[in-house]
Amino acid sequence: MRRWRRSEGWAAEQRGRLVLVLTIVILVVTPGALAAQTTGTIAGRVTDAASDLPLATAQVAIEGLGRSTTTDDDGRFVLGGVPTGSYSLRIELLSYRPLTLEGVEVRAGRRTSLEAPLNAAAIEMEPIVVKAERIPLIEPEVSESHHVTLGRQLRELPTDNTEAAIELTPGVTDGHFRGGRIGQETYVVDGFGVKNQLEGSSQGFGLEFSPYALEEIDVTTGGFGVEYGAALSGVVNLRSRRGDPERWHGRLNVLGDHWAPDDYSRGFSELAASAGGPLPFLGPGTTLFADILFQGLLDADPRSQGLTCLDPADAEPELAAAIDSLRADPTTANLYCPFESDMFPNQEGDKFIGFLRLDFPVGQSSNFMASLLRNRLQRQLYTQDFKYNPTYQLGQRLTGTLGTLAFDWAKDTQGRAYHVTARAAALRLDRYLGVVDPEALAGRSTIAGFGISDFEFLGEEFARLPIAEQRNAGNAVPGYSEPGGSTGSPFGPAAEGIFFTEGTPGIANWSRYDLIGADLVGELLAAAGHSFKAGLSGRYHTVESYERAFAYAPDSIVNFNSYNPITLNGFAEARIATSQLFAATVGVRLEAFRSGLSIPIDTTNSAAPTIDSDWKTVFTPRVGFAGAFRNSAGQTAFHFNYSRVAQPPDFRYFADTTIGDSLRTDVRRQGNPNLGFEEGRAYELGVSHVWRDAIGLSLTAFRKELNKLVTGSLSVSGSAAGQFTTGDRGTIKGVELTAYGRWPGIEFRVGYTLQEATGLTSGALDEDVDPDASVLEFPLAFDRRHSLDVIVLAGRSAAYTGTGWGGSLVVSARSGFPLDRHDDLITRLPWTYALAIRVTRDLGGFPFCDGCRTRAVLDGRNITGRDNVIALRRDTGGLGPPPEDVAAVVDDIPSDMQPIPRESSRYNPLTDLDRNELITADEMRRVRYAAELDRNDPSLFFGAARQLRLGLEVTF
Amino acid sequence: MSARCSPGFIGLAVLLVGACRDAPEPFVPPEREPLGGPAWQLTYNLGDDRAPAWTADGQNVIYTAVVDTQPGLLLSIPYRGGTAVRALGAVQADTSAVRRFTTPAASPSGEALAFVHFIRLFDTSLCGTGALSICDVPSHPRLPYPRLGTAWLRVRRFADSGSVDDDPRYEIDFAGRFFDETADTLGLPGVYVIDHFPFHQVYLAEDRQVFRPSWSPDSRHIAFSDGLQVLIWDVESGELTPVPGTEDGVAPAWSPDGQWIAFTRLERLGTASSFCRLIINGILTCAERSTVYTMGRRLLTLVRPDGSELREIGEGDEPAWAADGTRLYYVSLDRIWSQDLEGGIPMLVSGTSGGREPAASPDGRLLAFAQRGDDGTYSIWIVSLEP
Repeated sequence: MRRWRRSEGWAAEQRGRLVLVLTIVILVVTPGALAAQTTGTIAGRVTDAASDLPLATAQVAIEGLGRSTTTDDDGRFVLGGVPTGSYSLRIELLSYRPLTLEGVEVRAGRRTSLEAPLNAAAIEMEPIVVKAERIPLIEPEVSESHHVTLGRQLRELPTDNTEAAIELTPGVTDGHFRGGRIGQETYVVDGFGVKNQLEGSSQGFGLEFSPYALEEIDVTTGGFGVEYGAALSGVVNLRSRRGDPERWHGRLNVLGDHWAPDDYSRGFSELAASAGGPLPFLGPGTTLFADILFQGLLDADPRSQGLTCLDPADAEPELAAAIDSLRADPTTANLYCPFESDMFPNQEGDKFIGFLRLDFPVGQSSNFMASLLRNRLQRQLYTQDFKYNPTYQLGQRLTGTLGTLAFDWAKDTQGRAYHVTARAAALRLDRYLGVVDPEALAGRSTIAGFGISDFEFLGEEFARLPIAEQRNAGNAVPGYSEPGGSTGSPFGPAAEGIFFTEGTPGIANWSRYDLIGADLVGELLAAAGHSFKAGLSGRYHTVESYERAFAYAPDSIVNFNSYNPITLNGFAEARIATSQLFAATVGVRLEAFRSGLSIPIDTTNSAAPTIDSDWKTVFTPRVGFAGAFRNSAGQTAFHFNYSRVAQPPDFRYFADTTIGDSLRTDVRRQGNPNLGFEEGRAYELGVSHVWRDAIGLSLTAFRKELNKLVTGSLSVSGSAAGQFTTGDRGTIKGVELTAYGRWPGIEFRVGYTLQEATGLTSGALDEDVDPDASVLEFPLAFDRRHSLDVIVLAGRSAAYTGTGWGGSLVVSARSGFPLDRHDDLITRLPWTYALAIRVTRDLGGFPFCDGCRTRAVLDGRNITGRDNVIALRRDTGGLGPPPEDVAAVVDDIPSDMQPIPRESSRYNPLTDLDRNELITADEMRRVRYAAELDRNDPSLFFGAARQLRLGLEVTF
Repeated sequence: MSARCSPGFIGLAVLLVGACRDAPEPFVPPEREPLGGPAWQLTYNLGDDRAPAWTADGQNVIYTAVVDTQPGLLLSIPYRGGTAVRALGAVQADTSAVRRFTTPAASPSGEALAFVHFIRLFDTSLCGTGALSICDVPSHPRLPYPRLGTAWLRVRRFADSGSVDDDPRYEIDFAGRFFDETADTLGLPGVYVIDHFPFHQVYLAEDRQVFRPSWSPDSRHIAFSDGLQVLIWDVESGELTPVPGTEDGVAPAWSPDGQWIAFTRLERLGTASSFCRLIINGILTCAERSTVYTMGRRLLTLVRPDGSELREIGEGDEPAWAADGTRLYYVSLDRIWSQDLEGGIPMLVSGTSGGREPAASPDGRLLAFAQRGDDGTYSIWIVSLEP
C-alpha cells in the first residue's frame, strides 16, 4: 500500500504548495473475501492537513450515487457495496475547505483506500479537486498471490482470449496452475463460481469472454479465500465491464490476416463491437454494456503436413535420413511433403461471443445486476486419418450460456458498512462432437470465415433421441458409414488403412451440463479495516453424456449417463487489521457434494452390485497473514498463508470415461459415482518490495501437497479393479519471482517460476513400477521447471497519450515437460520460446462522427516463426514413430502382391513411381512407408505457427 | 476534434476489406491422364485381357479380364482410359464367387449384354498323368484333349438387378468328347470317344473364342458358334436356328445392316483315327478312340442369316465389321487387316502386331483389339482408324 502520509518530506512539500494531493486507489483486498463481486468498497481516513490529526464527523459522499457516510473518531470511513465505476468523492467538514476526489475507481470486489487531508478554511471556498490514481505495485495487506490483468491491458496485449491472458500469470503454464493438473482451478464470473464441473480437467472453463468485455482478470494461485475455494490450485476471477453511467462509449474493430503472406496467415478474421453507457429512462445510474465478437478461421494450419514436410534439421537423424531419401529420389520426390500450396485439409471454424450486462441501482444503497453471456465455438477438427477425406471431417460445437443475477444491498453508518449480496445463475454447456454434415456446411453463409449458422452434424437428431429409443432402433447413427477408401490420398492404394478417404469417422459424442445455483453472502466492514464475511451457496447440476465410438456400426455400444449432482458449501471468514499495514485472515469452509449416480460396480455386468453415492463432506480451514515490515514505510511487505484445499472431482469420473491425465494418459476407466473430494494442503510465504513507486519485486515460495487426486490406476480392492479412485498423490514446490515496473508511457511485468512437481506412485499393480519400492517418486507430466513471461506495454497501450503510437509485447520462455515418468533419465522436451508483438497507431478521426477516433493495429504472433516442440512421442522420444512400427505397416503389403494396373480402381498415378501404369509391390511398399510418415504428422508436436494480423479500430 | 478521414485509414480499410482468402480446398487426387494418339494401351492387367467389345454408345470397351483368382471378369472401361468397373454389377457383385465369363457383346440397343459363361471345362487328361498309351496306329497324332465342355450363352439387361438365373440363356454343349458306355473293351466299362474338331484345336492352341456371340442390329437375335456351325438364337422366344452352310464356322459377326453374317470357317483337310489303351503303373486304366481332323485354312466367309449367298472372301480369322458395313477387319499373320468388301487388296491396320479379336467402334473411328505382349499375356489396345 502506498503510504503517502508516512513520508514527512512528501507531506511537507504538499503542505507548502497548499495543494492537497492524496491519495490513492489501492488494491487492498481481504484474502479472497471480496475478490469477486459486482460492487466494491471505498474506505479511508480524513485528517487535518496541517496536523495530521483525524477528523471525526466529516461527511463523505459519492456524488451522483446518493451514498454518504461520516467519519468516526479516528477519522475513518467505509462505504460498502458501491457499484463499480469511476466516482467523485466529496468530503466536507465545517471550517475546512471541501475536497473533491475525482476519478476514484471502484472495482468489483476491491477495497479502494483513500486518505484525505483537509485544509482549514475560515470562509466558504470552492472545493479543491484532485485526481486520484495509481494502482499499487505491492499489496502489504494481501496474504494471497494474485495477479491482475486489467481490461485495458487485455485489449492492448497480443492475446486472443481469456485463456491466453491467464497464461501470462506467473505460475500458470498450459492451463496448469502452479504445477497442478488442468481443472484444479475454479472460475468466478462477477462473483459467481461457475466451474465446468463436468469436464474441467479436459475442456477447461468451457466459457469464454471477449477481451473487450472484461474489466479485468484476477488470477489467484495461492492463498485463495474460502468463498471461492472449491479448487486445489487457483481461482480465476473474471470481472465484466459495466456501462459508463455518464456517457456512452463504444468500439468497433476489424482484424484479420488474410492479406498476409501464406507463412503468416491462418485465414483469421475478427469483428468485434462493444458499447456501454447510461440508460436514464430506466432510472439514474442504470447502465448497459453490450459486446459481440465474431471470429472466423479458415485454419490453413501449416503444421498438418506430415513428417515428410518436416525440416530435416528438426528431426532425429534416422527420420531426417528418411526424409532426405524421399526428397532426393526423383521417383519419390512427389511423396516429399505431398500437399503443399492450397491442398490443405479444410478445417474451418468460427467463434461467437456475445455479452450483455445491465446494472440497475435500486434506491441509494442497492444495486441490481443482470448479465447474459453466450458462446458458440465451432470448428472442424483435424484428425490425421481423415485429413485427405474430401467430404467428411470431425467437428465440434461448443455452446455455452450463462445468465447471472446479482443483488447488492449496502448500508453505511459511521465507521461501519453492511453489505449483503444475493446471486443466482444458470449455466448450460453443450458440446457435440461428431461428423460435420458436409452439405449443410457447404450451404451455410459465411463472412470472412465466420458462419452465421450452427454447424450441423450427421445424425445429431438421432443421437439426441432418448437413449432407450436409440437402443431399440439398433441403427447406426444416420449418415455415418464405415471408413475406407484407397485412392483419395497422395499415396493412393499404398495408404489403405492409413488414410480414410471414404466413409466417416466413427465418433458421435455429446455432453450437456446444466447448472443452477444461488449464493447468499453477508459482510460486515469496519472502517478500521476489520471485516467479517459469511455465506452459503448451493448448486444443482444436470449432467448428460453420450458416447458412441463406432457410430457407423449398427448395435455398436452406446454409453449414456444422466444424473444430477448437488454441491453445497458454507463459509465464514474474518479479517483483522491491526493497523493499515497488517492483517490476519482466518476462514473456514464446509463443502459437500453428492454425485446422484448409481451404476453397477462392474458396468460390463448388469447383475453386478450397484454403487450408490452418498454425501461427501470436507472441512477446509484457511489462514493468512500479511503486513509491511517495520520501518519500511510500507515499501517492503510479507505474506504467509496456509490452506486446506479441496474440490469435487470432475463429474465425468462418476461414469465410465477416458482420463487423459498426465499420470495415466488416455486410459479408459470404469466410473465411480462414489468418488470423494480431491484434497490437498498448500503453504506459501512471500516478500515484496517497491522502489519509488516505479518498480516492484516480489518473491514467493510455495509448497502444495495433493493427496487425493482422481486416478485411473487399478484399484487394489476387489471387483472395483479398473475403476476411478482418488489414489494419486503429488507434491509441487517452487518459487515465483515477479517484477513490475511502470513509468509514464511504459509498463512491464516479468514473472519467473521455478518449480518441481513430483508424484508418488499409487499404482501398485502398474507393471512399470517396482512393486518392492514403498514409495516411488517421479516427475509429474506437468513438471515444468522454468517458466518466464515478460509483458511490456508502451505509449498509448500503457495509457500514455503523449504519442500516437502504442505497443506491447509478450515474451515467453519455458522449459519442457518431462517426456515419460518412467524414463530413468527423465528426458524433457526442449525449451519453447515465443514472441508476440502488437503495434498501434492513431489515425485520427472518423468521417461523420465527431468524437470518434481510429487507429491501426498490427498484431504478430510467434513472429520469429520458431518451431516450438511442445510434445514428442513417448515411445521414441522424437517426432517419428518407431522404425519397427513403420516397418510393420509396410509389411502389410506382401512382396508377392498382385500388381495394380492402371485400370484398377485402386490405381493412383502418384503411387506409380516409374509411371509404367502398373503399381508393383515394391512401389506400394515404398509409398506406404512415406504414407506412414505422413500420418505421423507433427501437427500435435508444435506450438502455434506465426501469424500477422492487421486491424482497424474505431472508438467513440 | 472535427472528423477527418486520413489516408492511412482509407488504405487500411481497403486492405482489410479487399484481402480475403478463400477457404483451402481439400486434397484432390490427380486423375489418370486420358489416353490418346494413334494407338494406346487401354489395360495393363498382368493377366489376360481379351475379347474387347464396344458399348452401344461407343464410350466404353467391355472386355474379359483374368485377374488373380478370377478367371473371367467382365469389365468396362472408358476407351480413353480410366477405372475399369464390373460391367454387370449385380451379376458380379459377389466378388468371392469364381466365375468364368467371356466374350461380351453389347446389344446395339445398348440395353443388354450377351456373354458366354463357362460352367464346365474339362481337364486335359482323361486317365491321369503318366499314362502309357499303346495305340493301334502308332503314328497317330497325339493332340491335347479338348477342354470345352458346357457353357451358357447369357443375356443380361444392364438395368436389371435381379437374379441372373432369371435371364435368358442358352446352354451350349460342345461336341467332341463323350464316354461310350456301350463299348466294352478289354473289360473296361466303356471307351472315351474323342473328336479333335478344328475348333477344339484353335481353342486349345490359340485360345480362340470360337463361340463368340454377335447381336443382330435389331438386338433380337444372337449369332454364335457351337464350334461346328453358326447358330442364331432368338433371345425372346428361345428358338435356335442353325445357319445352313456354316459347318465348322466359328466367331460369327453380324453385319451392321443385318444382312450378313461373317464368320471363320475352319477348313478340314482330312481325318485320322486311332484306338489307344492307356496304362498306368502296368494297369490298363482306360481306352479311347480318337479322331483328329487335320485343319487347313481359316477362311473368312460371308453368309446371309438364312444361309444363302455363302461366299468365301479370303483367308483370315475373327472377322469384325466396320461400322458402315463396307469392310471387314480380321486377323491374319498375327496382325489385324482390313478388307474392303467392294474389292481391293487387304490393308494392314498399323500398330496391331500381335493383335487379335478386333472390334470396331460404333462410330468407326477406332478399333479395339487384344494384343499379346512380350510376356505372352494379352492387353486391350485401341488404334485409330482415321488416316
